[in-house]
Amino acid sequence: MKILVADDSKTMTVLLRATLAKLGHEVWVAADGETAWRLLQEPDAPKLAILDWMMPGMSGVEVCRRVRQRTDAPYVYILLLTALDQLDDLVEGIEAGADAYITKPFNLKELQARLRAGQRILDLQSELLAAQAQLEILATHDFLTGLWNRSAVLERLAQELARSQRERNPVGVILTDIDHFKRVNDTYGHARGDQVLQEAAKRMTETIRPYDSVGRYGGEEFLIVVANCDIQKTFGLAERIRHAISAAPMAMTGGAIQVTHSFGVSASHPGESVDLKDLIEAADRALYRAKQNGRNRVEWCALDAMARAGAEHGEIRP
Amino acid sequence: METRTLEKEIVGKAREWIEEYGEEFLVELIDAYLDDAPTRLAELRRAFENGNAETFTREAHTLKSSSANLGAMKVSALAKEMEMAGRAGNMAQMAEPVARAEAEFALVRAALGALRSAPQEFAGREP
Repeated sequence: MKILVADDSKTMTVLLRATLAKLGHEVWVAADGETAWRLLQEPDAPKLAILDWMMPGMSGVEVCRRVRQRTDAPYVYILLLTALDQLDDLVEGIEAGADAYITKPFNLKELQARLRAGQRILDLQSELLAAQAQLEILATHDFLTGLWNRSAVLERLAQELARSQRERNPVGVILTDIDHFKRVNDTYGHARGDQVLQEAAKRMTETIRPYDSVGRYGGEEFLIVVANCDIQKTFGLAERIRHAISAAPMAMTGGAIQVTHSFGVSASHPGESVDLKDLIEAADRALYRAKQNGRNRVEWCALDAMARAGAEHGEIRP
Repeated sequence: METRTLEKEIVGKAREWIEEYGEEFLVELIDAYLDDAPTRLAELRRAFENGNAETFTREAHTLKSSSANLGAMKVSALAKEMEMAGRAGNMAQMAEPVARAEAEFALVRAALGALRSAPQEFAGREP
């Protein structure tokens, strides 16, 4: 592993470097506390540091304190180097955040044992981080399709609306669902139905741009957040997705299945504050019209048109 | 201080390093120490003369462990005495230990210089 050694005594760094290199470690050397602190802030910095307690300028204890004050960096396991007759001061070092200490002149077996202990803690730390990242994915993604889940895609939409309002850009939304999906399930069974959902997710993901977001909004319904696009451009993207879905049958075990989607499109006006619900309701209204007008098509509904319709009819969707 | 004891300690330590890390490492370690220690001693004297106990204590501390690594046990012991005095606020009484450490280091430097030029010969010799 990578290890940072900081000591103002050249004799000590030569000795530690040789010892650690012999144990198979990659050694970074700092001649003072300031250099140690700077090196520890580099992106690929060592996660284990051996710091001399007494250094001119910034002491090992001070470096320790600074490392512990960081909240956005990975854990660094810190060993303080100290003289045997200095053990009374160790409380200060441990309270500053040191994990353990090594006395000088150091004993090779003790050093190895301390390094192993450090490695154990760092391994646990990276397992924990990996588990956290996995949990984060599980909490925000739909298990079957790998798309954002409903709450996560709504969160993306809220963020995008806030950002676009600041930057005076429009945001487009597309609500789409698979035509006659119940028929697919009834005819081919749920396993093939799941495969259709997965293939639809794949084709949508491949068609949108990297900065757009697509989420599974309901059973066979999807919500797409289209960054920085007005209603016309969003309509164009919906058309491309419609083509990507319907152009070729979905090949799968047991024979290909031909599927189509219907699409409802809306968009916010640049710089105008808009309620997330209103935007989705407008897209939903357009989607309803796409269904009524024969499916496998895109319809749009402007926000103001929806407001008029809402005022006149007192409801959005019959 | 008998030169013979000094040499015995230094050669004993040198043999350990050669066994563990090889001759090349020993030379590197000696070079680092011969580069390091004079600076420490100069800093020690300056801190002593300026009455800077904090620097005095720190420099003595560093000299103590690096000297021990090279088998310069007398320098190390003097440095320990100075460190403890610096910590206890008795630095003013350290005039003699400072001078003795400088004199002792001159002997250490000569011994290490000889060792550096022929590590094999020294390491092989019976102490």
